[in-house]
Amino acid sequence: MSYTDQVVQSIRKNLEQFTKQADVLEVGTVIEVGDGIARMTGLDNCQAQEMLSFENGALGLALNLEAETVSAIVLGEYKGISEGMTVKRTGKIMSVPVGDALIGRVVDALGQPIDGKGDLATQEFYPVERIAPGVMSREPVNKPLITGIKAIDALIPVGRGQRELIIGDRQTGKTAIAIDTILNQKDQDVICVYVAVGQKESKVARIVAKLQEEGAMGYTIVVSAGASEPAPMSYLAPYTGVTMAEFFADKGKDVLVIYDDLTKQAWAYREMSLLLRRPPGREAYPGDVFYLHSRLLERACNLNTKNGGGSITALPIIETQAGDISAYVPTNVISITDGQIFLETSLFYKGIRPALNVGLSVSRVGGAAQTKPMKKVAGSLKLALAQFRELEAFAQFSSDLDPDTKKQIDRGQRLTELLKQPQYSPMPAEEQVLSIYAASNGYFDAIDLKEVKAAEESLIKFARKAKSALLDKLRAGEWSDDIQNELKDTCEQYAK
Amino acid sequence: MPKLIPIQYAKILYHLTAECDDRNIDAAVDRFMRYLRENQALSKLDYILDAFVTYAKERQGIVSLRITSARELRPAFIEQMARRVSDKAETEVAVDPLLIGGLVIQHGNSIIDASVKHQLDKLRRAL
Repeated sequence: MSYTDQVVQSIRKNLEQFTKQADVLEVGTVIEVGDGIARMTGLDNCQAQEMLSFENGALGLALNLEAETVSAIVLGEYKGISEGMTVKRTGKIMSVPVGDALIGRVVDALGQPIDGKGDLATQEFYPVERIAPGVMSREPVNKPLITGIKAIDALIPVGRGQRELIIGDRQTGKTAIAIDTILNQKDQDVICVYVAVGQKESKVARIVAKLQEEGAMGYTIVVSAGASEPAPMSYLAPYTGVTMAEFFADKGKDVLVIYDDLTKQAWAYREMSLLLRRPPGREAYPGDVFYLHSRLLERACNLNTKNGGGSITALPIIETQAGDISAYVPTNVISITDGQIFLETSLFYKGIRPALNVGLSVSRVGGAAQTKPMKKVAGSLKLALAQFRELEAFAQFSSDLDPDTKKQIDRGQRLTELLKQPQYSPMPAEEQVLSIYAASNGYFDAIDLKEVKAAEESLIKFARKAKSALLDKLRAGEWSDDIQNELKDTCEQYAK
Repeated sequence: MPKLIPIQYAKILYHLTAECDDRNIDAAVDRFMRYLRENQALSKLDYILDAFVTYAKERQGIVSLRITSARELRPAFIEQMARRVSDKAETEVAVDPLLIGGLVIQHGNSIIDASVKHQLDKLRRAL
């Protein structure tokens, strides 16, 4: 049968199955519209967060149910809506498409594709607002999420199911850490969702291009509510992202969700709430700005085996002004997350990139999210760095100090040098273990500070060639005295 | 506090005058007009009166229907449709050829859409 015949036959079948029925629609009339908010009378049985349909094709989300009126935010072009227009109830609570078809796509906050690659072949819709899994469906975080960044994986380890905040001023490398983490999930069986909230469209385009270049789009979904889109889209985008992640987590997969950034979501929510005439509170934020972030971040979880064993790890990003982490929104989110990665501008300009402030950064999951080998080598690293920080002020007088202090300073300087890492070069966990072991045990002490990075590189090259079996064992998380001796041998062989 | 909308003023007027007998009605209306002026809502009087008529009819059980059809309908047929919704029904009839066939009945805030245009729209979306 020719193609046209097939199409005609399937249309005919659809027509026969199509039942004719009069529909009862509930409607309202717009009485006021402006600034992305529409106010309507009628809609007597409208539910909270229900999607409404305007005559110009735009959708609305009913947020304020008042005595005689309903106020809704317009998700789309509100300029085509005029007073007196009819608004229909859709009967559906705000939902977005979810499914495997989303992987590799760039969508907006409503789940509509914006990458020009055609319609999504998804079948299911999940509601955007969902109660987070309860205590009994969770289990403690026990598997590591390797970011590929030495400083983080060794000192501030992140586990699957944890919420780790990336906080810092503008231009300190917050997005860079997020993207490097995505790039490192290549063979880790983790699906990534990158939510761009209120970002410049050019920045999002660059990020997508980079992810595509490195082959990361094969396991990543990008949700983008750009700076040129109305505020309600920025408000919705993080919830859309976590909803899409929940589809995979419910099936037992591990998902990483990055919210870049939540500060802009708070601004968008403040804008919306003020226009909806909700009373402003501190810094003009609405009273429920904490709930805005807490209900989003609580959906990150590590599910127990009875519920599938999947997990959602959240890496929210918050931008501070002038390093003030005690402002309203930053303190809110710090109290919600299980730790923070604190990036400082002064460190950035000193050349320490990633500009991690190891003293103020913390991971409340800590060692439970590290493999045995990493735990062993990281312990000594932390101590050495802490001691170095105490003595850092004396580094200028190194020639006048006693040999022990000088040794500590030299060791600390080399460790700091080693923790520097260029962008887009995540390092696998086993190579990190080798590098930190070598540095902590003094194998780089004799090398000039400027040559340390090159030395690390050649040590790793050597190990990849000659000791790949050891690297495999480390990757699998094994640790024993034998393995420790093998590490020692590797370093000694290299030193020769 | 958000400004009151016409339907809210209409409800106030209705409840103010509903229990009044002929003597007090003038005083009640007078009070209402002064209330409008206090709230600078006199400009909305036309809308308030429209809403008042609709609301009063509703309260007295008279159902207002707006029937839009694709072609002229016989008055007897319209009567029949109105009776099916309620005994005390007032109908407003309009003709919209764009509906192609069938009719649309608007009853307060719900619409019963039995037009061919609507069916075709649904069919287009289903395909």
